[in-house]
Amino acid sequence: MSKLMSKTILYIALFFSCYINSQKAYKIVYKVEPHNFIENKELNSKVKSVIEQAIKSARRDRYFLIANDKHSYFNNSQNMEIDFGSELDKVYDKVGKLITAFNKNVYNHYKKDKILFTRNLINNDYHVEGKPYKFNWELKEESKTILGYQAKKATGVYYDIIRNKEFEIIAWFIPSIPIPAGPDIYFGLPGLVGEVHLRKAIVKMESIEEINESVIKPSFKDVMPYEEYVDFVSKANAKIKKEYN
Amino acid sequence: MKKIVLILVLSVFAFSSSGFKKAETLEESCFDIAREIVLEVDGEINTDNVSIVNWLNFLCEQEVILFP
Repeated sequence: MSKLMSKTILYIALFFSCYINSQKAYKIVYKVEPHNFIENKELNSKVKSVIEQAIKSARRDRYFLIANDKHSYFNNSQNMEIDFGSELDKVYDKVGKLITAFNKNVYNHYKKDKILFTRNLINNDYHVEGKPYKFNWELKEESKTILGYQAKKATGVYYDIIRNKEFEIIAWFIPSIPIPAGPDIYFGLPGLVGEVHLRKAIVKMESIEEINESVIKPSFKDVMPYEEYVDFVSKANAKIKKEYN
Repeated sequence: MKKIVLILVLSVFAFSSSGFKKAETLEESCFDIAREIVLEVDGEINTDNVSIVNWLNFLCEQEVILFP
């Protein structure tokens, strides 16, 4: 009887230990370092001043990622109720956010190969569901240390449907954290993405901590399939390019 | 005499109109500044940033903001 009792206690303990482990997640904070801006470029002084302040605003931006072995959630960590000093501060913030051009509410379910994100297009939020982007990552030999973790280099190609252009993406991933997560849509490597080099910014991991928090999938009323989103962007961009460029 | 007067009138007209054009191009409109800001960051106007161009233009035209 006592043997049966101790076995039962052991099974219960094992069950709870597995449950607790499955809840274990990482919270990663990323910071932004703008790059590929030409210094001393001849610009209208008003334009130059706004760009300089927007770059400063982007440097102050922080993004967070909560990831476990099944799924992840990425967003801007800025509080919506933040008090901007002036309208100009809002201008710097909005222009600064163009530097990374990140999506909002990026939910990635790696096990189901699904992604959900919010994109603000022409002043409207669109919630889009599709498959994660395939970067065709090439793993390189180079490595470096990021916050004490050994990171390996990978390069990939990203076709940006909004800009109708292809860009090379450089990512540094951490094999010792075997979670295929990363900032925004930049993931899919055999380890957490600690740094990613984009068109106008280098996004770097600033902190990482283990948390006992589950990843919550955001829910939206109207979700647009990815194919519909691509079609919408392509038609809207054709009109905009005629009028503005 | 008539010829001299005509040349003088034409030259004054040509001088004043070129001066007017010069002043016009030097003064960039709110839209030009808004467009140039976004182009500098993004390289083109697209679905991601067109609302920012319009918003900057609106704020500038309404003099809510004065670009520094």
